[in-house]
Amino acid sequence: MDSKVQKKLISLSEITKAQLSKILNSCSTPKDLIFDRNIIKPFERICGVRWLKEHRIDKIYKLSALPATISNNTQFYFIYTDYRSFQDVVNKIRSYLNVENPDHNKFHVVIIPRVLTSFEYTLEEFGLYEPVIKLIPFQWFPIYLDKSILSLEIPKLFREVYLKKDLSLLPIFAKSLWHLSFVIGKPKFTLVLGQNSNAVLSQTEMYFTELPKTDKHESDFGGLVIIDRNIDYPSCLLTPATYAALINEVYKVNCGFCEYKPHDDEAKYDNKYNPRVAKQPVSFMLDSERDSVYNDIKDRYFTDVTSRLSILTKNLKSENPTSREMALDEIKKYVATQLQAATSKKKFIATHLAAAETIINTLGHRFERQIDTERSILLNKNKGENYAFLEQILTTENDKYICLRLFCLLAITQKLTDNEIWNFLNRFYAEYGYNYGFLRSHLIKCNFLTPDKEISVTNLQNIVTKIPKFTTSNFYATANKLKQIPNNPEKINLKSPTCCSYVYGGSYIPIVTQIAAMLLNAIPLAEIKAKLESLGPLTIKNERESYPLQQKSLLIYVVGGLTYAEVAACNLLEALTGSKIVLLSDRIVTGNDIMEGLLQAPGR
Amino acid sequence: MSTNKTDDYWNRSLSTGFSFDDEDDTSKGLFTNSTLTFEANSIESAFSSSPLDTDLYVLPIQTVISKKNLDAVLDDVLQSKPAYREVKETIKRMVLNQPYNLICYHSLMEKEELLDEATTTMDGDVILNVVLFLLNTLNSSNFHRIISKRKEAWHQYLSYLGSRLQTQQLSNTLLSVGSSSEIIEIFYMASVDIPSVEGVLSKLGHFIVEHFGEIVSEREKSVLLDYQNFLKWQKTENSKSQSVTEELTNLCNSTWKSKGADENKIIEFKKLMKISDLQYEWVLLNTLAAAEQWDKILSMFIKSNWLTKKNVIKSVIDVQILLLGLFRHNPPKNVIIELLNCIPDSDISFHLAKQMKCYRFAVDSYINQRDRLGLILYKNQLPAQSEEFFYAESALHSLNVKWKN
Repeated sequence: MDSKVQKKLISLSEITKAQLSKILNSCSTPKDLIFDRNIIKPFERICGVRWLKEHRIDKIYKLSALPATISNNTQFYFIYTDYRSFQDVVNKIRSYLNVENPDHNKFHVVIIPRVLTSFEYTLEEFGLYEPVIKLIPFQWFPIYLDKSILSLEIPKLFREVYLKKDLSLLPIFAKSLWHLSFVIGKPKFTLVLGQNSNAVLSQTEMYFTELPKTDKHESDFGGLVIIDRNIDYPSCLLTPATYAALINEVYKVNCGFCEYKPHDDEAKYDNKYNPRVAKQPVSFMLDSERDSVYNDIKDRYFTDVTSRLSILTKNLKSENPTSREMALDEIKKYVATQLQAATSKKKFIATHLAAAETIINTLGHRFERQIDTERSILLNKNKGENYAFLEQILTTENDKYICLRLFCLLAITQKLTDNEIWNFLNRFYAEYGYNYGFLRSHLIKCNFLTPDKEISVTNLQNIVTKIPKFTTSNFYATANKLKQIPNNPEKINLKSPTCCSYVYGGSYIPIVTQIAAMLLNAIPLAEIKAKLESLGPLTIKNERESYPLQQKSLLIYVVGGLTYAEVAACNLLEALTGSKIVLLSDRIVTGNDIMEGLLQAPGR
Repeated sequence: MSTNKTDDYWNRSLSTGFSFDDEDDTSKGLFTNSTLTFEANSIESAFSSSPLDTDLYVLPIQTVISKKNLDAVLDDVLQSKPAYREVKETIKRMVLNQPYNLICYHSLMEKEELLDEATTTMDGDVILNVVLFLLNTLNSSNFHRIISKRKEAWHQYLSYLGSRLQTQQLSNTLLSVGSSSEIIEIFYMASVDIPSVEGVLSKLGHFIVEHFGEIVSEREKSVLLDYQNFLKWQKTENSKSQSVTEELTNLCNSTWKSKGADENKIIEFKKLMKISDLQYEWVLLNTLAAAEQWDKILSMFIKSNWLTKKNVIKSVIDVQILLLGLFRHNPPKNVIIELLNCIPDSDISFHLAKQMKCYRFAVDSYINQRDRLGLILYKNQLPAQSEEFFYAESALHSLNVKWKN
């Protein structure tokens, strides 16, 4: 794959703009736009306010800050496919409506990515169906976040698909592959792993046969891999050690933006009198194109980042000539060209130094022990000590996500006894609230824990989802078959890595990276099948005519969220194999996002 | 009179098996078949008056009504169904967002087929649509029986009810198939938005009365009882804390602040909620440190060993975590040093002293270990011209120490 493909991917937003134009131009009257808070960032990425304003837009509001009365303008609401947000919007609109004589064609609700039929029923029940409220489905093209990262930016998919087993949004993956086929063609070789991914494959095939076809005969990619998030939980549970991944852990990156402003009334202590660690305010985009400093450090092992930043600072100083040595026209030229670059570079360095410092202050006190513990978990050693560390951070960190993450990791690897599980849960409920009492049920649904044996009564066998082989089979056996766990993690070179496990301090290689490595190295498919079969349902398409891959490039689709550590590991693999890998997912996540999904009350 | 006439036509038709011509075999069969089910006697008893011979008054049917019109009447009797579409085709149309119609699927078999086909799409919107169609057209036992056999449909329906917080239907659905593992979620679904402690407590009370028997796991049951105890405590104390340890924190905090407050209440609460020692001691450490009650911390965590008569740190918290945890609160140096002195393992205390910038303690450790080279290196890290710097300097020149290197 070449930079032409890269440019095509960057330009996907142009097609999204065309889609959006069609929606906005569907009425010629002046318009107000109302955005759900969470949807603003993706819109900034896609088109920005200036572009929107070109479409006869009068005012733009946040959904949460709508005025009590509205003008005569046509209203366009933008929300995600979420019943609660939908309800909010409908209630809001009802408050504006004259029930006896409602305006027609005034209210448009654009639902991203999909309008569900049950939403239409709700409107029908209220008597608000068209022409009072018009529902418009809108699935945008994947958003280009950074070099080799595409994202649908649809939140909560992990929870919907894996926890609630709600398949309402699953078809958007197939739809996006259909969308992409118009730009990059249809990759011939396809490897699909996992139950949901297999469903995505058959939906994709249906779209490809029934819907308009692409006119691109050749694909820009040698192959396509679709994989379920739950095939590789450790990749999001483990603590990553690369800069970009840690930024996401500490600050939470949203749609490629990292923004943090401290509150004015930041208390000295948390709710349990643990002293708070102050985070430095930052605001930057994780963009390797525009930010050369970020490009340099994003995939570096973290302990190397600060020293790298200081080298960059020194370089900048030496590049900076003193005016005494320059002639006047040289100075002019310098100011016009290089000074700008130097100034922005200086700004970038300052930003990343602040962010790096915050990472150290936030994680520094436990980083080493955390990495060590995770390492011994992956080597299946010191179970007692690992569990003791879990008990400790449950209490001392006062962070429900961090401890639940480690618990989940232990539960799927070294396995926990009933007593250990309940001891953890009871302490967890005492520490963070009994209102999380549904947690065990959620853990079972996501296959972190196995269900009680007693409950298999009556016809329940039919209902309880069959536990995938993943949890029943031995984690270590499959991981070793895939060579995911280096025998001597301490010998892995973290500074100038040659093994993709460096992203987790040398202890683990993500499954997507291992699959990509096998495909790019043209390992016989029979061998690959033997290694992957025990992980979940596996389908391989067009193996005869397209394997070994005709081009050393892969499109990898992760259903349920992708981590920056996986991206970093694939970036290294690219460099090592001279190939190109583009990763696509519904969102870039951390383990904390997955835990947040588990800890959300049922019905939310 | 009118009834008589009808009766007559009825009988005549039955006996002769009327038809205009013999083309329409089905209608003939239908009429004649019907006669088989009626016994002469039963007809007589069912109709109040006995049949009269009224043949004389009756006109041939073709003179009464045209064939075309009679066809219209008969078509109305046995309407042909709306065009039936293959289940597969309908589901495909649903997936592709094309117009479709479900009302032609009446039989149970067709409905099941429809649901099966819908689940193969793995498209939740399609599945739910069919589920809602079945919900509207089947009685509850048939509906629950059918969806409980298909896990995709089952989950889709539960998610639908959950997102609309229809907890009553949810528990009916779960109980209709004896799914007790998820029943517990219903309580949390229903209680999460209740703002008051009393509200949650009463909701929990009701839930326990109604559903306790259905929960299989004893441990799940005891979590609910613990929750109930905690809510009761909160109600009497008029507190709104999120969790047991937060409540303990607040309790400690108010106790340390008011002189002469009853510390027994803390212990009582620990016992009631079975708080683990680790969680208990961690809260005590942080609340005391925040209140700058350093003496109390020392007396709480330092105990004398009865055998060696030496003071040791007594805590379930790992000693390094304890000290570093305390250090975050910027305690006076003497507090740290007193604790460091109680660590029997000098490697640990030495390491901690360096981490917590207890220079003097660290210098002493080097001296005790007679590690001259170590001390020289360490001295260079000390703030220049500081008291500790000179202390290290003088130790290095001291003749009293027999250095090992």
